[in-house]
Amino acid sequence: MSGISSLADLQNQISANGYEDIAVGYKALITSASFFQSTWPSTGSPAAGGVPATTPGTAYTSPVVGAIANPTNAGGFPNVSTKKRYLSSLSIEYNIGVVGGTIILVDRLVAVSGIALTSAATVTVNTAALPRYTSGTGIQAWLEITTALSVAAPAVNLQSYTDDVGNSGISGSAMVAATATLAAGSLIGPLPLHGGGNSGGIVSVQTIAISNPATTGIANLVLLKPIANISLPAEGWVERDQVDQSTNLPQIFDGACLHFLVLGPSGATPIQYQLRTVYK
Amino acid sequence: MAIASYDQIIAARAAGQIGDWDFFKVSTAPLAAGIWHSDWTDVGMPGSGNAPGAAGSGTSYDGSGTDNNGGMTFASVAGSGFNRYGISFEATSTQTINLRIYDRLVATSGLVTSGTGSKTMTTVTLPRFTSGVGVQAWIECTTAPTGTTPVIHLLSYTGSVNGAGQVGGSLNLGGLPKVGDMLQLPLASGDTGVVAVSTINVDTAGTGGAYNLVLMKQILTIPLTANVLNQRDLVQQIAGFPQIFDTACLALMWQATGTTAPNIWGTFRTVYG
Repeated sequence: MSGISSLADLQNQISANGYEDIAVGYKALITSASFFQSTWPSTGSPAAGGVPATTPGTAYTSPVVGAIANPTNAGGFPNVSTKKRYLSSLSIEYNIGVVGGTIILVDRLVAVSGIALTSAATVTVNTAALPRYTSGTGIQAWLEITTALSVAAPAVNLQSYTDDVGNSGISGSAMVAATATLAAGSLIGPLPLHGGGNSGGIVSVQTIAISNPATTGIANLVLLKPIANISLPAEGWVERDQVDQSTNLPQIFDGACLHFLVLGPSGATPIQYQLRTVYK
Repeated sequence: MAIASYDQIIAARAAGQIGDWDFFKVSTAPLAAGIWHSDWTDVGMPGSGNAPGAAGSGTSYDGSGTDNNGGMTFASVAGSGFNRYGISFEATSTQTINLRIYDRLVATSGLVTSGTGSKTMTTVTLPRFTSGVGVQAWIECTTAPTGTTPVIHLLSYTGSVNGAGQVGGSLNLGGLPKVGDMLQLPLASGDTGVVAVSTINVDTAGTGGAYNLVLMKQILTIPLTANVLNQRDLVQQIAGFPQIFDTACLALMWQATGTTAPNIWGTFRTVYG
């Protein structure tokens, strides 16, 4: 199938064929003024996602607890096999009433747990093979804090990784944690790619290096693909049509493990969300 | 072939005729509010770009060799009879800034402002936008000056309207730029762009101070309030629908509202057909 061919075709898939799935839910947030947090470990609907395996980690293919899902198919959207599913709209509600922010919808691909940020060392992660976006183009590496940092803000860099244009064993520059007290659920990243290179993504990570270690702090290394962006209102409901408002219409692959990255809320009020998808 | 309708855009996106960049940059600090700042050498995704060649050789960001490394580049589609277009631009930043995406065309390194007089800054031929219309000349600080604030001007350049041998207006750098800070060079009256630059004159010298000369074409500028995503649809919202040529080398620059270095994340999406 070549997919949706026109706006009328998209509308027809919904109105005539019923080829639409809608996910609604909510997620608790932590205060994160100038750094991203992950909703993967957040309580809400869906429930918090689990801790991934240690090296080589967990390759995510839904159904899996924690993935955004429609009400009739827990753990992710149902597979559409030979058809193609697309995100048609994304809506968010937030009511802290102080400061807005940014939300990125991502497809969680691979994660490795148990990375201690408490000693200056090279850590072997040897990530599992990507289950989707296997070329690595557009794939980013983030650190997802599972045990809060204390005392120092560690710097982390990709010490050895394989990029999307066939380079292996290359390294990137360091990214420093936004504060020395990042709470569980906070993110460091994305980790910068190799300078002077021509790549735009990551296939796998072999090792990362940690400097300026914290006294406490453990993280997951997560490989993910951004899908769509939306502003987080200070108060109210905001929606972004993925067809005629941001001309995106991203494909959501079978097995996608969707959750959010959130930047900027000044309070811990939960967000509510609605995702509409259409398939043909 | 070109995109002829909105439905054609939808069909092309759905069929995977895309080229999207989810970029991020860890920027460095600017001199002051109001100044523009380059992300060319900053780490992130894409990774940092290389220093351009010196006068006489320079660098053409034409897709050959490794020159475009550090820019957002795209797979060639012209050979298949397609054109590529920018369709949406979305970004967020930890500081309030104006974020611009531009096509980096050519650059020459080694403009020093430690002494007055004519400095040879010969640029190579433009790889795109070859008429020069809309092509701007900027300096990009690579070594911060000290002492006196430098003053410079384009001493000899070829304009898109006026032709060869043009002299631009004077540019006071407005302070002592930090590494990465950028300032745009004024053109001669009546010109609308730059085809090539031969020399730049340092009218008032500073102590130290080195710069790249960069010829570029703006694609889009978007205002960002700290931490809050902003977005522009380039089809339905501002109908810019800019063509992104095969060898394009898209890069980021931003205008500061303070002196704190921002981290920047965002997405630039294209479609071809």
